[in-house]
Amino acid sequence: MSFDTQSLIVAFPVSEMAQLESHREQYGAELPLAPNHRRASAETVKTLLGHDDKGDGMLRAGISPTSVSARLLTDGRYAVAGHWSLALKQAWENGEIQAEILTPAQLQTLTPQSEI
Amino acid sequence: MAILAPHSDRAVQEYRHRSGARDTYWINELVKYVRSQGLYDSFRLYPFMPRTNADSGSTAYGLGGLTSNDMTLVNGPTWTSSGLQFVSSSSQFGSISDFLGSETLTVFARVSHASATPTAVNTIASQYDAANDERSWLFNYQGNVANDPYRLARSADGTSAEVYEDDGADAGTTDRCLVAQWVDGGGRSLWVNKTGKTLTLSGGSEKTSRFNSPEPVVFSALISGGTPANYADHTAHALAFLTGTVTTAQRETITDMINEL
Repeated sequence: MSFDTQSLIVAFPVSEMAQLESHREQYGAELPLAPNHRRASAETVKTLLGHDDKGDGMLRAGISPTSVSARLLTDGRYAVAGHWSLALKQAWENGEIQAEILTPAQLQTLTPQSEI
Repeated sequence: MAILAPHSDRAVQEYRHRSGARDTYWINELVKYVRSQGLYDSFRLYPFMPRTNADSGSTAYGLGGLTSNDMTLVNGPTWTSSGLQFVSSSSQFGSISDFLGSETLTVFARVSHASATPTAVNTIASQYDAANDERSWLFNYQGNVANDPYRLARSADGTSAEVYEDDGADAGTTDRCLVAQWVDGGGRSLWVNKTGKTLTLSGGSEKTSRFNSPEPVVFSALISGGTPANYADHTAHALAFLTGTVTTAQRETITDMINEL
């Protein structure tokens, strides 16, 4: 299993967020763009993040410009949620990458109310 | 097994092929109805049940002549047997490239809120970029104020807005078709299924037109200055847009059919 079985909300500083895409080659693993079993030829890509979008334990690739959006927090960091590659998780646990796991309550506290 | 309606409309056949939808019976009935009323080219439907759409992946396909734009699903909302589930803590939302002008707009959103007592703003749908002064319209479930009212906002110039709210009496998790409408040259209305709600001005000043924003139409979030916020926790069955004048009978029939999807 190349990806965490748990979905985690992770906060990255701006500097790390900007680097995240470049970590894809080193820490990423292959996932299909869409685990749609009607389409056997679903393209796979190397990604840092997967989403279980059917709730069946199968992951779909997450890090791509159209399928992932980071949440800007009040402290200037960005939060992204999903099933992270275990290699990337190891890297932040080793201190190679700055990242902090947030609880949903912490995320809510750090989420700005958008102007209406 | 695919559930096919007899004499499927050609647009429904194309939709079934494109999306992989297995059950298009009520989609077909709805499309036949809007065609019969001359509304097809003003209408766009996004069904969200696994049997009525792709059932996986990051595209929710749509049909109807108003636009050919499909919805991009961001951050992996889940295709559940009850519909497409959006979770705010995962920053999930759907985005459609702009296809609306400033004409009368009716938005049908069949959703089940995850909580009857939300604590944050839950955006149902919006095209309302405050940071770029490109506000057009906004439809919220105001979980951060007493009674959790629904809120409809509209701007005529992109900058200043009217904000109307109902009494919050319909807060709850029941599956319902919410219908929000902004009339060009007139007022705004909200129905829960077919029951009209009384709206009260709660902020800004009354407007009678809607700004033609170039920003994306967003489901389950608000995007301002390119930054998404105010995500919703809900499960969605369908979303539809209708532009131009619509009669009460047409609105109620479309509501009934969306509730069958």
